[in-house]
Amino acid sequence: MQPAEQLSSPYVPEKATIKKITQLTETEKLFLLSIDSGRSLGHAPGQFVEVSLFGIGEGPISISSPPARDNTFELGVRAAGNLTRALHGLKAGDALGIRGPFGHGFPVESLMGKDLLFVAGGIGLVPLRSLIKYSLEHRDAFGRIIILFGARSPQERLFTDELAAWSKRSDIEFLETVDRSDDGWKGNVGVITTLFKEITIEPRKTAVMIVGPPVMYKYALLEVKEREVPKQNIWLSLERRMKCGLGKCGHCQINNYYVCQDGPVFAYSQIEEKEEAL
Amino acid sequence: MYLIKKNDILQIAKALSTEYQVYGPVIEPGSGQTFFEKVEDVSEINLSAPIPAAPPKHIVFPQADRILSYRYAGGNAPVEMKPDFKETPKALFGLRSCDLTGLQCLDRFFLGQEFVDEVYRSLRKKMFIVTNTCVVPFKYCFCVCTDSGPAAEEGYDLNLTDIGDNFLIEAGSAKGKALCEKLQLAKAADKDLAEKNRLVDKSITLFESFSTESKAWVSRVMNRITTGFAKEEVWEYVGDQCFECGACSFVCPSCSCFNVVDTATGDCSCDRLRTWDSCSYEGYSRMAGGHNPRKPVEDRRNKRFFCKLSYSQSKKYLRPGCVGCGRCDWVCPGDIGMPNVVKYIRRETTSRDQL
Repeated sequence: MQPAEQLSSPYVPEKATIKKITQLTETEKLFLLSIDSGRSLGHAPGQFVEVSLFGIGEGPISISSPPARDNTFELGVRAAGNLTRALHGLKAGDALGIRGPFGHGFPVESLMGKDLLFVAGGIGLVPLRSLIKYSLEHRDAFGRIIILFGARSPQERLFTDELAAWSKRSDIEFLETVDRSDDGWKGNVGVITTLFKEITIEPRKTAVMIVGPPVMYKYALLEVKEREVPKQNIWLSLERRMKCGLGKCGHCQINNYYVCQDGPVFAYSQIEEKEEAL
Repeated sequence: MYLIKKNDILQIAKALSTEYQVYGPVIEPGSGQTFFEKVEDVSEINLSAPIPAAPPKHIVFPQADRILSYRYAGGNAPVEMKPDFKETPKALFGLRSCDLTGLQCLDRFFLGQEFVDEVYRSLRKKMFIVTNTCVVPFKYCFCVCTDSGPAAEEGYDLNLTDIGDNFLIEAGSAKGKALCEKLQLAKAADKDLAEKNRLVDKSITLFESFSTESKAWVSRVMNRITTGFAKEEVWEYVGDQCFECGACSFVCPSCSCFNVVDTATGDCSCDRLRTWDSCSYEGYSRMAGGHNPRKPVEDRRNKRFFCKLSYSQSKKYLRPGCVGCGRCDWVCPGDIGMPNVVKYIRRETTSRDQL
């Protein structure tokens, strides 16, 4: 150790602690974290952090909670690879490293006064939940709030308590469906785009937020474009292999965009012409 | 401007070695290949050696570089995380102008963007740069097409040009000038500069036909790639030819993509390394869960050329990302180095224009 040198580096994480873990489904968990220094993360809805697991590595995870007044935040994580599987193995009280928040989230200011249409496919609800909860906390600042949610099966529905609460509220239009049902399911069955015929929107007044698996974007965009929502009012969050979060490592490039810096939330008008974006 | 006798040129390297770790072109005895390496004894430096097989990129951006080290004890025990890199003053002696341009590309990318890369900066700081004019080009060179040679124009502390019995020395910075004054070098005359200019002009005529024919085509290809006008067939062909070996990225003076991996250094300690990566690899953009937005190889290949030649990407370097060193052409087993891809795009465009 050479304390005299006092080198700083944007690659050094801050130590954070897992406060609470909630099992969301068989493969997804919600982690409530706080940064040990007491610093508030200060994120905008749609941003992400780089999570370090000691002895394993680092990877980008989107933030699932709305901007908070305290130093806690939530990450919803599917066990999909080495890092996320190891994260699922941790318990409350364990330490990890955090860098961020990074990137551009949803343009909250410009959404104010508009009707909001959320289209969340499966795990896409995790990043969208940050903005949904923000808009519900500031309900008067927005017009209608319409939430469409699709899961592959009833067992894969995330945040079921919150979904139930949303469906009961009269100031939210909440619709959901599952691709495949089982005996106990009483709701809609079909892909998420089937929900579009249940709603009417005023295209010029509406901002659409779409987050879901890659294949969903194509079909959800068809529905939205058919209703002539201006392309600059359609917002999508892209998932890429953002190793550094600083626009340096190169892995998340889409032509001239670095998803980690210019995104991960983009207006459709920004990425419509980009090969490989969608 | 100063002069020094040809046989005395390494005196400058010797003088630098008191203050700097000196790097220079060294011919490896076994293979006969040139490498730009750390030298213990400046007499190892060979200024007439051909362009090094690999660029000096590794000096500021090592193939595997520690960006962080940490110790942990599991659970919620304190974790010690520290940036772990240090600054060593370095002198690059006998850098070719293409490689200086590559270094400038890396500078603009790592230091000139929103985030300053402290790891890069620590390696790049305190550097003395001595460039060496190419009075004769090498077989694969095409720096005349990319505005990066055969003589360096800026960014050096000293520039050397072999003008016969002497080297002409141009100082490009105050510290370059101070060194020349300290060594009491003889002043050069206008005729010496005229001789350098004559040799540079002559050097330009000695480039292989690709370079002399394609000067305008490199910028025209930039236009084609930027506007999406390069034909799909070119990328399909380039994709078919690509071995996905990554060599083009590794020998490129301006390629800067890296992966980040943690490697154990003890039971509860790790180094976080950044390692060179290549956009030709299938796993480059693959995410957890297996989704990969760049699946076909031609998709990945055209990204490399887009990165080097499109206008929007060139904003990050303030020039084309290609510096015309020709190394990708030299190492590519599939014949899809930069000059060939420029040729393919040219050929496709020309044949279409004639219809």
